[in-house]
Amino acid sequence: MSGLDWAVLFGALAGFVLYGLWRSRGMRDLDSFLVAGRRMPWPMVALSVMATQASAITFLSTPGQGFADGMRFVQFYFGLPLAMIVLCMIAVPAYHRMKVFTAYEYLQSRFDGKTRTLAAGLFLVQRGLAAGLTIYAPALVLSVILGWDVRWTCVLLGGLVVVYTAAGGSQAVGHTHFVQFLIIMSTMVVAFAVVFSALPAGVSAGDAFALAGQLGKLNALEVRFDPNDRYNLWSGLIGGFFLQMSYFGTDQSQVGRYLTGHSVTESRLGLLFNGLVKVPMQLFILGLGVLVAVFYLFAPPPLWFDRVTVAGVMEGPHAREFSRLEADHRRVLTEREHHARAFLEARRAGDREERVRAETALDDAQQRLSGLRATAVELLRRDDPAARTNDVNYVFLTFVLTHLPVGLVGLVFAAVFAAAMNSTSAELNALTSTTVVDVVQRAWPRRGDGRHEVLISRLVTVAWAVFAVAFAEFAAGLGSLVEAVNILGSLFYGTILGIFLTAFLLKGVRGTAVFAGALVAEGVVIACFKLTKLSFLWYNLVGCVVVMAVALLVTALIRTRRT
Amino acid sequence: MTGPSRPDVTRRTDAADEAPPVLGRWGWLYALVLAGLIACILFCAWLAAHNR
Repeated sequence: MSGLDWAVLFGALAGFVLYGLWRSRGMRDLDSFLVAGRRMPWPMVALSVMATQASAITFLSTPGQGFADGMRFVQFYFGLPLAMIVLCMIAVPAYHRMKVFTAYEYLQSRFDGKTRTLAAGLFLVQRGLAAGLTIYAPALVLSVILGWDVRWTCVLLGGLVVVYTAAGGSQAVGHTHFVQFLIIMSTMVVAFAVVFSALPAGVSAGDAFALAGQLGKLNALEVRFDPNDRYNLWSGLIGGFFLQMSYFGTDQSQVGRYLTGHSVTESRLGLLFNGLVKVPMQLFILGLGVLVAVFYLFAPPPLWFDRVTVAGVMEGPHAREFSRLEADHRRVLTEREHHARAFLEARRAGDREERVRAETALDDAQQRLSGLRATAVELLRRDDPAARTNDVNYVFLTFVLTHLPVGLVGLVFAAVFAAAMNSTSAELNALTSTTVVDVVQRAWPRRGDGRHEVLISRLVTVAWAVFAVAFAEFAAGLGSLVEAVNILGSLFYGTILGIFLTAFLLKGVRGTAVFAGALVAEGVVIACFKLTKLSFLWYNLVGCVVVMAVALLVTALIRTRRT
Repeated sequence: MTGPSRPDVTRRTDAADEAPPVLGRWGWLYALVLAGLIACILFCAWLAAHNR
């Protein structure tokens, strides 16, 4: 990166922190620290909700997925608008009516203390570990690309976030989300325009579109139902609906965002805006990745995008074999470019026969490239069984570093840092709310004045940040742990959603019945995980339905015994 | 001297907000979000139709 890029990057990071601190003024009580005084207008709620969901990995991995796998990932989000509508109808009014700080507080008034403890405890375990990964995952990618030490990158990220999150709580988080998310999206739009303008002269938008289709990247819809495939219309609409219901309706990192809304109306509008914009936004970011794939038809990409892993192989006994693979890769890339140009010429000339010939040759080259990459993965594993064999997250930043103009490179890196700070700050704030409201205040009910409560909340925020960074450092040494924590989260979501939907919809059910339902459902979900190949998206549906069914059954049994 | 009191807008808004969870005045917005989703799915179908 050039001096200007570094200046833009560090200038932006300092700007984010200073803006967060400036917005931290006037912290008088828990209301202002945990829910921003419930004063936020809907545009702030909307962008804060979107910024919380879109972590740095979203902005790194989504273009990478578009590049490698096409647009099919967009189907994952089809259930989101439906979930937003249902939550606006049932969850938002319920939370606002009771003026709760956390979603779990609602469960006490609806059921009992033990159900609240169960839900809050599951959240603290799952989100506490996930917060470490939210720091670690982008830190790993940034450290590889920038040549930094991953441990210090984790400390830098955590350190930047905790300054304004501990100082200004939800208020600082909401305001920085708004600014950061606007910067991120503007940067993505500019990056899209730059990639498009970098296509060779004479390659029009129509040509790029036809090439993307020919590469098989326009696979945005699959209507065939397959419960083991997470990316099709039905798993997106049904499985995705339950996942998003759980995430937005019961996860405090999201509930805490729309509880900052000035009224039910502001919170609802914030969520509905998200419902309207999220799928087009994902289409756009995936489209950026597809455009990068088209660009790389005319400018040779590396065989493997993770250069640290490549450097590791080149120092080992398989260096010569890898170099040979790279040479083969370059040769096939040259052939592929030739076929791509022939395809475009035939398309323009309307020569059907020549077009079919070019399509077949392009397909063949594409398959040979896939074969070479598969061989490269085998080689990486042989060289180091613990090597990273997925380079999707490195595609976009490699492109940025090698092809974007000076200045813009720094801005893109600032946007990635901003995205990492967005999701981490929301998580720290949510963990603080749940710890203070659902644990500390219940264990020590005597309350001090507002300033004392703010001080306690600040200390809890710092403690969670230290834990998250420490866990990120620990994760740096254990690759398999990352996957384990992600799986852990997906095992709890359905059960927690079941508890909340029972609270909202099944008015006759009481605490003991829903608690029994939650225990049975968790057992069923774990059995599904251990014994079946069901895609994790469906665990949410299974967990939720089992909680509600068992809760109804136990309620009926209790009633029968009483009568 | 007492004049007509100012309407309590905040209270009235809250009361409307806390109305039972029926579609009501929000119906058209929910329909808009739903229409947006359908438009996106149709667009995805159009993209998929151009996939090889």
